[in-house]
Amino acid sequence: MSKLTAERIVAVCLIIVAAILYTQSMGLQNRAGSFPQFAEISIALLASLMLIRTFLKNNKKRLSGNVYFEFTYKAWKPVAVMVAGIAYSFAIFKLGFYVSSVIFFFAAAYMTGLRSHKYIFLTAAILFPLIYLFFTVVMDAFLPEGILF
Amino acid sequence: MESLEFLLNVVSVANLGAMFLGIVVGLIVGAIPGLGPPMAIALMIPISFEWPPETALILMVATYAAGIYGGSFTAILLRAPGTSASAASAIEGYEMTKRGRAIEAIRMSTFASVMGGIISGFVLLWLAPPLAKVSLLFGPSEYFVVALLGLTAIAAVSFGAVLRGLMAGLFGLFASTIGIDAATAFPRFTYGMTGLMSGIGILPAVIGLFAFAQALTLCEGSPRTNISGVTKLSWNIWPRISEIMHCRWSLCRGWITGLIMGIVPAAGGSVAQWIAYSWEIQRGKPGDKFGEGEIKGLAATEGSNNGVTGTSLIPMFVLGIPGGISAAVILGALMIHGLQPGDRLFRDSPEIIYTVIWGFILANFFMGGIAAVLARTMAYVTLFPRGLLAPIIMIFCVVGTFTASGNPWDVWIMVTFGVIGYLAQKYNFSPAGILLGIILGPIAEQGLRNVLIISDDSPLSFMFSRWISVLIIVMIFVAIYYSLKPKKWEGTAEVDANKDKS
Repeated sequence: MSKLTAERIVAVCLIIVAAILYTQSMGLQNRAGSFPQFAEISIALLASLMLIRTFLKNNKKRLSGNVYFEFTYKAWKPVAVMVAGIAYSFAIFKLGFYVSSVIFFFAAAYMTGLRSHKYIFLTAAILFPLIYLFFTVVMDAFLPEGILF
Repeated sequence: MESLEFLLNVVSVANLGAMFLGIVVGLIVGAIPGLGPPMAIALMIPISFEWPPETALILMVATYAAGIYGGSFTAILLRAPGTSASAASAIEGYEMTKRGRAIEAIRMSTFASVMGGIISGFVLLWLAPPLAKVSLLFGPSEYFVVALLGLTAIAAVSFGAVLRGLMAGLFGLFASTIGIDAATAFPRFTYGMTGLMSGIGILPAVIGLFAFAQALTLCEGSPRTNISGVTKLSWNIWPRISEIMHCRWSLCRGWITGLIMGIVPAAGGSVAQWIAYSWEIQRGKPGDKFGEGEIKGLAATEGSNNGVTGTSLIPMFVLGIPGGISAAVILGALMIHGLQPGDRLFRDSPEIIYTVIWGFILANFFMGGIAAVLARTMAYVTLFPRGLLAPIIMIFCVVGTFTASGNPWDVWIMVTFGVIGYLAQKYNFSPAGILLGIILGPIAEQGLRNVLIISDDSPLSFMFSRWISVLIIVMIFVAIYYSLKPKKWEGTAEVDANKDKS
């Protein structure tokens, strides 16, 4: 896909999202919707400007070239860790903070491609007692407990 | 100069011990994303309950000053600001770290923060009562225009991609409206989810947009390499005279911004740093490389966020109006010890209040020594492999956010903003712009609403009848003029082909 097309798709998507949100904010009473409407209209206007600019000669030159999609694990690594991070944020309330954090730490470290087992285990052996000491013992903070710990 | 006689009161084992405890706790807690100074100060209240009031309050103010500075450690070293007042430092500070200049960034941050805190302390000592009267001049109209002034910083932090930066800022403004509307109690964009009723907190947003997103960015590339590629750190933890002279005007601008913004209730360091940064970018000279590790930008942001600390205590001590959450917690401690804020505090208990203020000034001074050594030690994290740093940062983001509020929704909001921040950074939509929108949105909306009510729907005539509003409006136009004007330094930096030139 060309960069020009990608820019146009992004601009159109932004206009559509702003329009949907605008219709939703129209139902808000007593001026509660006026501030969000200001933001939504402004986003739509700026996105329209973004769209118009893609038809101008100067910007066509600037946006020459293609957007490349790489379908290798290396390229999608941050997305994989992102998914693991999202799962982790839910797991702490089911499995408990410490259990899910230990699992997440090892999983995420391996997902990034790190294979130094010594480093990973050594870091975990130092990190988790420190977190326990600081948050649970010193700060007496309540951390989510789950079915295990 | 009667206040001078109370300086010696600070020099007792108990007061100095409390000060050092406050500095160490503030530096450590402030550095952890999510915790920050209010939590550090709150932790100190039960410890100091039985202490004499001046000792307990020295502990609080030392924790506050060190907590604000501590937030910069992780902002500079990992792009994971410990507090919202350090978010702007993450831009230039982390770029310096990436280029192997972490220690240089730390020492400038230390100098700017220490001096900013000391100057702010002296302003608190000598000018508290008159400046408190200035803070009373700030009404709804001024809050609204101060928020608009802050929003002009979006253009500055967009680094060439102004159109995308503005959209990011507007998205932030929109996000700030999620939750129950304070004026009408009408839920907005909550879609029936109870967790969204309380809105989007600044803390989960700043941690997500910067720290969590940064952890995802670290997952790109080789997991064995470290952030900077540097394998050895310098031991030179004090800035050279030449470094200070190079940044002297940036430091002054940062300190002045911090001192002024400190007396504006509710604005504080979170807004001051962006105004200082934007000012700095507008004043840039040929050869400056903002957005690529420009030390002048860091000097300004670090000077401003600690310049705020002393003056933000003025409305609290003199009027009993806390300018921010930290000041509110200190106010609570003040009242626990049987002291009432106001003129009488200075008249009836000068030995307490002036001892505390001197304690604050000395705490900033000693903080420099402790912080430089602590920061130097913390800088070792930049030598960690990225594959280890990324999960560690994510775990701290989660634990910090949850500990701060105890609300699972804040953790999920933080992760959501982490994903948004990562994508925004990747596609040049300025995460800093989103954050500015979230910080300033409620101030602007509330201010505008109140102005509309007070002025009977004629806001302009009302605003133009108040000289302080007019002054700030003039500042907004000056800021817009400088934002649109081609910057002297821009022509000298390498131009990124992907950035739009609107």
